[in-house]
Amino acid sequence: MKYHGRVVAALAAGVMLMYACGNTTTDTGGQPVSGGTLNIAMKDDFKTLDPAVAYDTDSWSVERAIYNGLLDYVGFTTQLGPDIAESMPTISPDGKTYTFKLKHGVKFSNGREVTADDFKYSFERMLNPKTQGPMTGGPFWGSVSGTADFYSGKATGISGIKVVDPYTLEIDLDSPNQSFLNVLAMPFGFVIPKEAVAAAGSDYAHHPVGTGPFVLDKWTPGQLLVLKKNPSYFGKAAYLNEVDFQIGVDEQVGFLRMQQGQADLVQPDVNMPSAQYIQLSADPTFKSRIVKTPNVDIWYLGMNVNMKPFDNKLVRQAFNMVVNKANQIKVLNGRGVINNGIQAPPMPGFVPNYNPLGLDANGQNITMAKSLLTQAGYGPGHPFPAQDLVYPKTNADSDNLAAAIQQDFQAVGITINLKGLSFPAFLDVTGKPNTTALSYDGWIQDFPDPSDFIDPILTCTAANVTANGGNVSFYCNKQLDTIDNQARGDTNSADRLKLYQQIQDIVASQDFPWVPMYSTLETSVSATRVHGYQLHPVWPLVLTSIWVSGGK
Amino acid sequence: MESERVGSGWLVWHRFRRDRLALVGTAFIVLLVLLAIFAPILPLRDPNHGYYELLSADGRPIAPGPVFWLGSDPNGRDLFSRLIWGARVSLFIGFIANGMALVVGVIVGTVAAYFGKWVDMILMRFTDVMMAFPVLLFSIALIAILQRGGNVLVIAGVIALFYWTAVARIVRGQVLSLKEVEFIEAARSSGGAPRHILFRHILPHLVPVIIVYGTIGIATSISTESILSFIGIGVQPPTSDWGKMVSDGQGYMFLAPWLVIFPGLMILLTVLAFNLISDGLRDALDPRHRSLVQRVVGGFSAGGQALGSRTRTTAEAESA
Amino acid sequence: MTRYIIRRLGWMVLVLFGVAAVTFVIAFLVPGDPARLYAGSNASPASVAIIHHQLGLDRPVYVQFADYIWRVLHLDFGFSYRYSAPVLPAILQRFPATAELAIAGVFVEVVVGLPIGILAATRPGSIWDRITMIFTFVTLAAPPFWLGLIFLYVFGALVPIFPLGGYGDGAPQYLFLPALTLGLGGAGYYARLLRAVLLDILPKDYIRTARAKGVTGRTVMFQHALPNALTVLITQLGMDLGYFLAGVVVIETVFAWPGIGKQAVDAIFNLDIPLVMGTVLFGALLIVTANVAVDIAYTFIDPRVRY
Repeated sequence: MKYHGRVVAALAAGVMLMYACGNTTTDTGGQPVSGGTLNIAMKDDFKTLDPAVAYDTDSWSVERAIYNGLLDYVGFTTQLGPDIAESMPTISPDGKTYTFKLKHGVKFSNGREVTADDFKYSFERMLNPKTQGPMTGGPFWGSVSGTADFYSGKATGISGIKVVDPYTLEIDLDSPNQSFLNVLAMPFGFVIPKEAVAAAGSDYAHHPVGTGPFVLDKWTPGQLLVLKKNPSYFGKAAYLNEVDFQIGVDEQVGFLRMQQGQADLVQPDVNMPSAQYIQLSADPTFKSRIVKTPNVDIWYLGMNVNMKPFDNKLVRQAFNMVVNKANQIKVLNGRGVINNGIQAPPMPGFVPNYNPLGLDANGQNITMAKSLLTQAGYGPGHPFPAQDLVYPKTNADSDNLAAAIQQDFQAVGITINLKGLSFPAFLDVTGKPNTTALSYDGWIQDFPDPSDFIDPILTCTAANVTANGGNVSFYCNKQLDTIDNQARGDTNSADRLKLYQQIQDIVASQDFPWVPMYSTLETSVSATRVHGYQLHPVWPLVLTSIWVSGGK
Repeated sequence: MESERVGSGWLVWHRFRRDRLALVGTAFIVLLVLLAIFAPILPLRDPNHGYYELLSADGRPIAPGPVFWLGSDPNGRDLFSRLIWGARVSLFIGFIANGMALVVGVIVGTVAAYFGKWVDMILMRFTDVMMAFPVLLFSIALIAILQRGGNVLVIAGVIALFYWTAVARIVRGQVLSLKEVEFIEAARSSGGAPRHILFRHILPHLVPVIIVYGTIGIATSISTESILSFIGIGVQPPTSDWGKMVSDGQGYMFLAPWLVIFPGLMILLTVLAFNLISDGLRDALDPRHRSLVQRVVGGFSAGGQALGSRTRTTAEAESA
Repeated sequence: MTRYIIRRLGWMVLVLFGVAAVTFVIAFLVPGDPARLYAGSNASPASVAIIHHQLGLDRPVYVQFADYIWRVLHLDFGFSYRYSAPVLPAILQRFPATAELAIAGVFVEVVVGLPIGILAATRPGSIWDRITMIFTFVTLAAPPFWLGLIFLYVFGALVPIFPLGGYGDGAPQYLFLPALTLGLGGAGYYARLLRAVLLDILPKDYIRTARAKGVTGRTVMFQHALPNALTVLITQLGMDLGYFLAGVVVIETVFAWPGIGKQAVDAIFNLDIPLVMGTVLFGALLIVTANVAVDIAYTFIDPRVRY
């Protein structure tokens, strides 16, 4: 399971079409046929299908098929378009009022038509502290007027979400936010019917009702989740009649099943494991069926600027020159590119070959690192204290990546002890102030906008928390925050991207809260009977383009 | 008395060495222990050094051959070195866990049986409680909760936490039957101090049982440790560990089968060797009371109740 | 007899109380605030505080303990963070799969172990005896996770006879490899046990008498020696069943078998402590029950106790 970042911001989405070249389509040849069942092997059971709560790619893979929001990305691009909304909203000149017209005749799978009231209900439920969803109190929806009073219980509803008539919804913001449309397109903005929540009692998570191309037919926890085609879907109908998620299948077993034709996709929301990638890349049947696209992610070592020895900027700078980034990519079977900055290659405004420290082809400068450490006061008489590297054990490569880092630091006489944790434990210890000095982190987009790689993980707001922080370095630079705030409301996209590049310079060539390392290449593969399978730049899985030959 | 003990030691060895399987097992363990002890000075590659420069761009593990005799893992580390160094971890945890379990088990068992009454009652009920847990699941939970996965002493301690109960029950049964023996009765009635009786008359008679259980216990501890590592909560990387190596290698079963086969074989052979030794020792030490320890077999109890379960009937029978 | 049964049941209650006390203490050792785990990794401090109170974590420890025992008595084993659902139903939902595997595992132990034991005991010292005894040593020493992986790859992938793990709604071909892996170690153990017990019994007086009366070797074995040996085995098999039912952690993990053992291991990695400790408690209940059941059954089976 892959987890997203925790907070968002954004950009007028229309400018982002850079993904067009990144996508690879598998086997679209032939005329699509309807019918058949797609079998998907998944390792873990789904946590929840409550869109107000789910914040992981496993859950989103299913939610994307059973729900809709006001807006969605058009096809396999990062451009936003209307979904249940009839058209893109009208935005007031001050950028604070969004007015949405809804399509007529969009129906929940229980047969009732969707109205603006349902959106108001869904948004308020999603933000209600009692729902215990991750958006409550966070910055994504924080700019909507009246959320503060709603959270504190002073108001029973959110004043900024207004039902004008059954087909008109108005949302008022306190201040302009260029990323708000992206926020609305996240699964937290999906619409659900009130009566289904009431009927499910406390267990809506297992009894979802939506408007999407599929409906949940059966969910046997730990074993099987079945989606069936929604006959009354308002959009273009899916090709597949049924999608079976086989739960509890480890990836290596899943890939063997795929080769035997017992599974069509294996854990499509995460990168293929190394062993299977190497093996299938050499397999005559499957090598052409591997699809690739650059991930919008950045992997880095976070150094807690409030903790010794990383409170010393010279130490942080030295650390920036030690990691052999090429070896990291080798452990990932070459599926990645060295990244010395803070933005991912597919991101608008990404600076290619960014190398402010003049590092070599492996991303190192050992001589310089040693002299910086000497400057910082470390040497034979005062050896550098051994450090724990805290990292999440999310897959088979985690240990190997961390071990390579350990070896790199041996070369400059620094002992690194490896401390691998389960992902929840990792989030726990890295999100608390003054708890973790050095950690191996990754950031994966909530949506493809440069702000999503800054607001949640590099700002003072993100550092000023007692727990669950995304800013693992607890790095705070007021100058950076000022530029970031300026960028948020800036409607000129070229200027806005320049501001984000300035922020990158502050981080990567001045303050060094991170050791940026690499961005990855997403890879996935499908069985031979699968056609039309594509990697989406934002969604972990899109089922509507897929059709199968000889469906059962 | 003194001469008799020397004589019995010689007799035991005489019987033991006729058991060819036990001798093979002993030879294997001696070799393994020597390799483990001297691993740092043997001409081996650093088990934790990744030869990334030898790997292809796609990071494929290197097959067994002239460079790496038993191949490399995906980090370009020498599998042969890692297997030898892995023996250090397995044997260390095996010996330590077992040592702790024996000490606690012998003390609890002896005290319970010797003092009887409420002491016995409390200690045995506590033993019952500890034996009632699904051991493996609880061990995994405990290590995870303590968040000390990397610490070998914690792992050994958790293993010992459940294994001592088996020892305690057996020792208790032994002591109970010894109490009935005439010479101890005599010592007690002539006013011997409890400590004197315990150390002089009872503990020496427990030695055969302790030796046999000790050997089985090492096998059991090593088995358990490998399971914990396989599940992913054993020693921390990059420390080489057999169970962890099987776990890491499982994805590479087709691509690099050596990554799974060799470490698994090391576990199998080591556990097998300890079982063979304990079998031979049992026959040699206690030819008349064969049935006492006959029913105890070390190694993997298949269901996950890795420790203790196999000893129950015997212990119950003895203590009943 | 009735008194004995009552005594064993009393023992059972006492031990289970002890087990509950230990699990409670462990749950208290959890680093961090359970409320935070419950709230999920994305929750705000405010909602954590609300949950902290909802869970009653701000009460004195002894009150919490009394409350815990009270709830356990009412079959409330806690609330799973991950599934946002009560623990016991989550366990019971997975339990049939574990039960199926456990019974099949014990079946393999018997079906493979007993013939081997008899074979070895009837010809002690023969080549058959040696081969089977070495076989049992190897199955006992083979790491089950490793054996399972080898089986999976050989019979699931190289020669695809059996499915590659999973439950398959309980279809027998899915059960075969996990049950074999589960039972093989125990089979080796039972073969050795049976051989030892038979060799112990065979020279006994009544067997000699039977032989003297002209009864054939096979009849002696099956009508006289074996029934006696089985009483020893049955107690052990009953215990094994209890242990297997309590969670077959390794086999379920290797074969993606959706039982309570796999669920608990997954829960550990998700820090879903209530689900883990609930499974531990549930497992202990099964083990203790099996223990008492076996003891009571023994009084019926063993002729010596019957008198």
